[in-house]
Amino acid sequence: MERAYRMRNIGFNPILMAVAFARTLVIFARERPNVIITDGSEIAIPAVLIGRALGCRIVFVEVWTRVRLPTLTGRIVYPFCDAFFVMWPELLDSYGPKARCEGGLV
Amino acid sequence: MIYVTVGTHTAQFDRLVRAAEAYARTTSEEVVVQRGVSAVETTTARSFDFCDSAEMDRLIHGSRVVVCHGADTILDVLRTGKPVLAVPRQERYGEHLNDHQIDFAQALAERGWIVVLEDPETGLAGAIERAAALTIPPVPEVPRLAVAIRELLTDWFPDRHPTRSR
Repeated sequence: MERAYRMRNIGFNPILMAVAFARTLVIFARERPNVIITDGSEIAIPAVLIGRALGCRIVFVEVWTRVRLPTLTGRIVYPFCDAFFVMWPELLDSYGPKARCEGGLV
Repeated sequence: MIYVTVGTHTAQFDRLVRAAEAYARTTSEEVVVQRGVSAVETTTARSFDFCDSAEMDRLIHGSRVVVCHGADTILDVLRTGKPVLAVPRQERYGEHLNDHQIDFAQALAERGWIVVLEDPETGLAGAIERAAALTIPPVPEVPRLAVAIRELLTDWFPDRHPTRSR
């Protein structure tokens, strides 16, 4: 890993979300990513939206612990993704045709 | 040694800690409990709230069975080849915001990777032994999902070489 940036856990806090958007803009302007790969949670929202706006490829992976219940983050970012992975076939029903299952971590 | 871990979640998991303490009183085997934010006192089991990952690794490696909540700790343990008994956190006891841990632990148990126990206050001893008796295949070094993502990157950026991982 070349560089790592840390952000506070956002939860449902709108101020922290606004801060995350601002920081993501600055970081992406500096780093110029080509691909965003994320499993959430809330930080994925600015990462995907700003990444999308900058022309990045977007890959979302639903977390391994979600078998039947999709995450709110996953549902929000789904329309903006180039690739969308779930780790359990049962979760495919919660998403549209873009979603793929290539198994989980075991 | 039986290692019981509730993870780093911000909600309590008193139910499992109490069950571990009650189990510790019935056996001469050492029981160690990582209890997180649970304030339950243990007098027979040795307990602490949190530890670093090095200590976590030592405890997992030193254990006969790991009893954990229904989250990614499970993968850490499976990778060491130690048996897992998962006790899912449940929303109705205020242990988590929803019941996805139940689905997750059950899905892994159905595929033969772990034993799951929803009520640790009855049947913990039996479930620990059932976990100890499980034989599981080795955990794949590189999940198929990682290969699929790498293939996407190669399709999107054919003139870039993906960095070789070790």
